[in-house]
Parts: sequence; C-alpha cells; structure tokens
Amino acid sequence: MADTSQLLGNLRMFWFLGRRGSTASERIKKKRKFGVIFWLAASWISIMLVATISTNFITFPDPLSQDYNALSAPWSMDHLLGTDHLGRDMFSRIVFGAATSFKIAFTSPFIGMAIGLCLGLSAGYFRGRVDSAVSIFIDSILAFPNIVLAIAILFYAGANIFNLVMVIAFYTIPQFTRISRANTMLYAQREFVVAARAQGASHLRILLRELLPNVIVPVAAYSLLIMSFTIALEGTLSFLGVGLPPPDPTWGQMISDGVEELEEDAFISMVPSFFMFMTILALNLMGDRMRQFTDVKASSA
Amino acid sequence: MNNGTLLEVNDITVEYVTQGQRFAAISDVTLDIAEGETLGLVGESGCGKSTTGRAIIQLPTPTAGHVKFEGQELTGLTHNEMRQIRQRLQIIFQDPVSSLNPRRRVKDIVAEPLIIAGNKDAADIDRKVREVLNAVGMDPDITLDRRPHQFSGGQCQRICIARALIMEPKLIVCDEPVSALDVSVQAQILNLLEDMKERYGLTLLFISHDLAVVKNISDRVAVMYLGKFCELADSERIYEAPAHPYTAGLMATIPEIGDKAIDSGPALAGEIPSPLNPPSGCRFRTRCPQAQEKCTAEEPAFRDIDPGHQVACHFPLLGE
Amino acid sequence: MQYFRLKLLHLVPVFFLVTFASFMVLNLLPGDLVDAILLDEESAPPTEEDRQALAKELNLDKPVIVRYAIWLGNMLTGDLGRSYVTAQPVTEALGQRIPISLELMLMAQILAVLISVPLGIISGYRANSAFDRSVSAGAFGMLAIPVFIAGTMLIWIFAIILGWLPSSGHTAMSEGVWRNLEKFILPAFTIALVEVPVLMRVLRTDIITTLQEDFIALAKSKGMTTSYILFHHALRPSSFSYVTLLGLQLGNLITGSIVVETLFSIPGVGQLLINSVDNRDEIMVQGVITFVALVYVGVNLAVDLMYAVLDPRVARRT
Repeated sequence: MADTSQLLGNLRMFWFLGRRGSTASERIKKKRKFGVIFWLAASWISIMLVATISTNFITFPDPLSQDYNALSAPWSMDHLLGTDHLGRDMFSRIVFGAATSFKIAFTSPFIGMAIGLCLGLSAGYFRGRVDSAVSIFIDSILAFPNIVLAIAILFYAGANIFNLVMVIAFYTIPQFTRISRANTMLYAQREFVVAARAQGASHLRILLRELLPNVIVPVAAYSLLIMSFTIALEGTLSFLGVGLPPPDPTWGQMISDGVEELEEDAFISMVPSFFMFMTILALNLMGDRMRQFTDVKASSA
Repeated sequence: MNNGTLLEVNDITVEYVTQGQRFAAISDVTLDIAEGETLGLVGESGCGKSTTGRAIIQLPTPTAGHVKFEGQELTGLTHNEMRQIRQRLQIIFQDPVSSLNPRRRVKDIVAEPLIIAGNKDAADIDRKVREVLNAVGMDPDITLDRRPHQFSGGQCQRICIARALIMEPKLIVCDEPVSALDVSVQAQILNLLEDMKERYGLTLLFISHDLAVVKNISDRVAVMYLGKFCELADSERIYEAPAHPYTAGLMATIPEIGDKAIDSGPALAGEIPSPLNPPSGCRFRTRCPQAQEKCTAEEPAFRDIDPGHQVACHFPLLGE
Repeated sequence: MQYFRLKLLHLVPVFFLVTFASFMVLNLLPGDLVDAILLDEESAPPTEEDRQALAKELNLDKPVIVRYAIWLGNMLTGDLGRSYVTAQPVTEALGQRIPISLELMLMAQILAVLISVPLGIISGYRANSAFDRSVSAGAFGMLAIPVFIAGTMLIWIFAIILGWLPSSGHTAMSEGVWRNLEKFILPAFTIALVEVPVLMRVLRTDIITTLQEDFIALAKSKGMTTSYILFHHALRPSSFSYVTLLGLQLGNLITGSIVVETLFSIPGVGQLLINSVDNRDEIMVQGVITFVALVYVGVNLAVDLMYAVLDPRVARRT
C-alpha cells in the first residue's frame, strides 16, 4: 500500500488475468468484452451500494444497540450474520460500516481527481516551468510515507469525516496527476489542439474543451483502482484507531474489535474482513479491466 | 493576380532548443503572397516548410523577423489582438483525423471558430455550419451529430476545410493537406480547394513535399532546403527551367512532368544533413553535383536572376 | 554526476518541506497548544505558572519561523523534545525501539525474498502453465488483502487454530535467540505476504525474458540441469528490476510495520507512534513522524542513487 502509484504499478502487471486469447484477433475480440469476472465484480459492488443506500429507506436493526441475550451469537433469523461480543447486530454493522467506508473511499478519489486533473492538464499542456513546479509538488507529497502523514494529520486536526476524506484525497493526487499529465501530453501534440489555437481559442478553452474530454476517460478508468486503494487506506486507519472514532461502525474498526475475540469467536473479525477483501478485489478487477480499454502506454511520467 | 500583397514575410527565423542546443528550424525566410494567389511551398520532410506555415499564423511566433498580414504586423500582437486576425487567417493540417477532436461532434467542431469569435446566435451558427458543410460536399443532416471517427480521411479533411472556411478567411495555410490521403481522394480534395478558392476568394499557401501536387494548384512555387529558401519562381518556369541544382534534383524525382522530359542531371543523392549542424556556406553543397570551393566558403544570397525568379545559388543552372 | 547533483539538490527543498510540515502539524491542534498538552496529564488542573513555564519551553512567545529554526537546530543535534506524558525524551524512546523495528523489517524482507524468488522463477520457467496461472491468480487476490487483514487471519490460523506460534509480544534477544525470533515470525510473514505478489511478478517477467537468451540455450545444450540453469544462469541477469523493487518497498514496510507492531504488540517505532496517538502525546507523535519521514526521504534517495550507479542509463535519462 506504499503509495497509489506503486499499487497501480503492481496491478498493471496482472493485465493477463482478463484476457487469455492466444491469437491477436482473439485478443482483440476479448478486449472488447468485459468478461464474466468483470460483471461478477460489478454485481458485488452494486449490491454493496444498494445495501448502503437502502439504509435510508429500510429500517435495519440499530448497529449500536446491544442484544444481551445474544452475545457473539451465530447467525439466526434475528441476526442474519450473528452478533459481535457486545451483542450488536453484525449484518447492520456491515451495512452501516460499508456506508461509512464508501462515503469516504468514494468521495476522496473525486476530490483527488479534480485536483490531479488540474495539475496534470496544466503540466502536460504548458510544460516547462509549470511542469517542474507540479512535479516538485508531487514529489513533496510522495516524500512522506502516506500512512504516517495521515496519522499525523488525523491526530492533530481530529478524526472526522471531512479530515479523513481530505487526507485520503491528498494521497490520490499524485497518481491522478501522473495519468492526466501523460494523457495530456499525448493529446497536446495532436493537430486539433494546434487547430484550436489557430482559431484563436484561449488556453483555458483548449484545456477544457479540447483536452479535458479526451483526458478524463482514462483518468476515470483509473479511479476504480484508486478507490480500492482508498478503501484499504481508510480501513487501515480505522483499524489503527486513528480513523473515524466509535460509535460509528467502520469495517476496519470491526476487524480491530474482533482481534481481541479471535480465540473464541473468530467470525467477528472474519466477516468484515471477507467483505472488505471482496470489495477491494472487485474494484481491482473492474479497474484493471477498465484500464485496459483506455491505456495509452504512456510511460513518460 | 497583382491585386496587391496580402501577406508579407520578412526574414523570419524560428529557433528551437533541443537537448540544450539552439537550432534554427528556419532562418531568414522572406516571401510575399498576393491576394488571390496560390503559393506552393515544397521541400523534403524536415526542411522547415511546416514551420514556415505555422510561423506565419504565429504558432509559435517567429524568433526574429516580421510577418505582415493585410498591412498589419502580426509579431508582437497580444493574444486578444491576434484572435481578431485569426478569423481571416486559417490553417488546414496534414492529418485530418488528428486535427479533429475525437470527443466532439462535427457540428461543434465546425462551429468552434464562430463561438470563439463570440457569436452567440444559435440559429445563425446552425445556418452557417450547414452552409459551409454543403459547400465542402458533406450532407449536414447526416454529418452534424456524428463524431470524427465515423468518417473517412477524405471526409475528415472536408470537415477541416469547412471549419477553416466558416469564418470566411482571406488566407488559408494548407499544410500538406492531401499527403495523408489516398491518391484518388487527393484529387477530390485538391479540386475542392480550387473550388473553394474561387467561391470564397481565397489566397492559399500550399505546403507539400509532392511536386506534382503543387504544380497543378500553384501560381508560384517556392523550394526550401534545410530551413532556407533555394528558389522562388512562377510555377511554369520553375518546372520547366529550374535554376537551383536542388530544384532540378527534385524535378528528377518526378517520373514525368507534362510531355517534356527534363534533363536535370542525376536525382538527389546522399542524406539530408542534420539541421542541428548545417553545412557551412551553401547548405546544399554536401549533396550538390556542381558544388565548388566557393560554395563551402560563402553562403549564396537569395537574389533575382530574372524578374520574379529568385535563386540562392552561386552557380544557377541557366537552361534555354 | 549531473544526476547526482540534481538529486541532492532536490533533497534540499524536500528536507525543509518535510521538516516544516512535521513541525507545523502541532499547530493543527484545535485550541491552545499549552492547554492541549497540560490537560492531557492526569494531574491537577494546570496553574498559571505551569502554563507560562511550558509556553516558554515551547518558545510560544516567538514567531513561528523562529520556533521552527530552533526546533530544526535542536533536531539536528538529536533533540526532538521530550514527551509531556511519559517525560521520556523522544530520541531516547526512538533509540529503544528502532532496533526492534529494524529486526522486524529485515526479517520481513528476508521472508519476502525467500518466498518470492522460487515462486517467480518457477512461474517464469513454466509460464502459462496451470501452476503459473494459479500462482498469479493467488497473487492478484493477495493484492486485495490489506496488511491488517492478512495479519488478523494469520494470527487466527497459525496462533489460534494450529497453535504453532505465539500471537503477540516481544522477547529480548538476550533471553534467547529462538524465543526472540519465534515472536517475529508471524508479524514478519504478514508483511512479507503483502510484498510477495509484486516481487514475484517482476521476477517472473524478467525470467521469461532471460530464458529466451542464447546463453541459456547454450547452457541447456551443455546438458546442465534445469534447476542449475535457473538458479545459476538465469537468476542473476533477471534480478535487476527485482532488486530495485526491493529497495522501493520501504513505504510498504513502514505501513506494514506500523500495522503489524500494533496488531502483534511489538514495541517498535510503529507501536510507539500509535500508542502516543492513543495517549494524546503530541510531542512524541511529532518526533516519531519527523523521524520516520526523514528516514523515508533518505532511504528513497539512497535507492535512487544506487539505482543510478547500477544502471547508468537512469542517470542519463533524467
């Protein structure tokens, strides 16, 4: 989980998983289709999303209320996934935890993407000094091992949703900047950009009208991979106790609570672990597939 | 033809910095184009033809020298002042597919110059877009809502021409407009350009490496080598009696021109020297069949050898 | 040389940025710094004198930039302040814990190499075989497991279900080498597990490339055994990216050790950080993050420079 770029680099090496066509045409044909695994992954994410949204409409058991008659109980009709050592309904806690995790993990990439796009577009289009300034900024972000700075900021500034989103968003900036810069450089050489300048378009107009629509596609494809990173980072922070403070349930916190109970009731940790694993895996699978569709082989970053 | 000068280019130089080294992509280029004229600009790839074309439209502004368009000096204009001029000074590129933004619809692409110029009347924009698409032979009803990848190269070039024409410009720089197209399509686009020239009263700077293409469309032809002009003369004259050995060498690469085989000596031999480190004296001397000592020592001036026929050579070929 | 100078020059702004950011985090504290520090202690409410004494000690009467300069100066002489919770100097606390964290990271790195090298070589040698595919699929799955989940599962499986290894704690080396190492196995394995997929894949790719070289064919024609060829001829030329990547794993190692030290109750630097956060020990947290960030910057620079020495093309490309 060192930093996003490393993570994405890691995933890039697994491109082969999606396609196994041996001949070129077979591979092209495969490339056009998403494949069964992609749809399975997408279904998992959709189910999770629907479940989290449904908390607004359907009454779930209160994830905080304790059922003293069922401490660490196995699954039953009352408690679909059983209860934890304090008698809280696991199913509810998973769903509400997902809501919190998703809120943070899905919002921060968007903020990071907005900033990364601005930086990457400017750096790739103007080059020269703008490029150097942006790269120094990015290097400075990467100069801190991510988790340490996150811990520091959350500790000193307080662990609330806003700060969490901001800190995590901050760490997605470098990768978004790199991808948008590489893609911008690719398109900035195309003649339609010169054509726009020949028509008298301002730089801002070229950036927004000519480059952004082209650059945003590959960048958005990457955001799924970045979400898997933010889910893991949020979970790690919660697990360490520097994320959202209780009582709001988060997956990381649930796993951490269950560590004490591993000997008697391992499922208290294992159930949220499973959900988190599946979610990250699904995002990786989808993101990896999406990236193949939009990759520009831009290594000069 | 002598309706007055539309474009005057004086001693422009464009320098780039590559790997910490400055080099001039073009140096001391001087030319003028009369209103209604088509000036052809030929040379091998990398000789600075495109750089010249782009320097004229100030993309980028030349490092030195002057460009006057309709009597107005362009170098040193601000972005906003230049924007007004750009409406009358358009460009068409070599690769029509790459000159159209793949993510935008044709109607937005063609209307873009109008919008940049500040036209906010949707109905007027729509009317003008349809009109100009009709003019270039594209059916607006089919074309408007599609994206560039749904068209062939020739159709894309028509769309590019439509985009250039919509502001009713005076001068269009055509930067190898047919080189990327199939031969059969080339002729169509050349004919279209001629028609449009007639219809809109255009002046063209036609850049190409293909002498045969340039011959048919140009009134006068300029030949470039390694960032400098070698020869400039009427189209007829330069093809029939090239005075610069380089021009003559280029002519020999054309299988046949008209019915008269030109005895212009051997075709071009050797490699083009690096523009980073051009030869001393005459730049062509390393490949010139009649190079002499003087050519190494002294750079030939670009001078008149006849009225309207300029050559940069110490020993011009004087046929006839 | 140009490259080295550039890199070292680059270090200057990064150094000031990192230290300044570490210094400034204290100012993120909502409310008064003095109150925040004094109110944490379980003693009687602070008197006005206490407050003023602390304010003076923290140089709060001086402007920020002067405070930063003083702090930086102290830091360079090895003084990162002292905790107001435990009264221990930060550098002393770090000194006690650095060896433990180093041992953990070193073991993790050794385990990662021991696991990834054979897997990478065999996958590369039998590329696209059933073995290769299942290893690769497994590795892709492993990438979806954050360290803290991996650690929790390993404790559950190896310490609780199987009961092979202790699940937590630390025993000093002086009380026996095995008793010391035994407690490091699971935590180190946890960190290694997260690194293996990446390392393995890189090695696999390079092995595949190397095996197509002529000298491998020559070795085969000489009748050498496959395993001899793989380990003696193919491994070395294939290990360049692998070694580089090992150096770049530091970020993973730091994250991993913070999580693992917390999970397994190992008194290393990571646990110090998390405990200090729990105890609201502002000065200690600041000291630890400054230290970790500087180590991180320094090691990354060293890896960059080493990379340039090993492969001169890197220096030229930049």
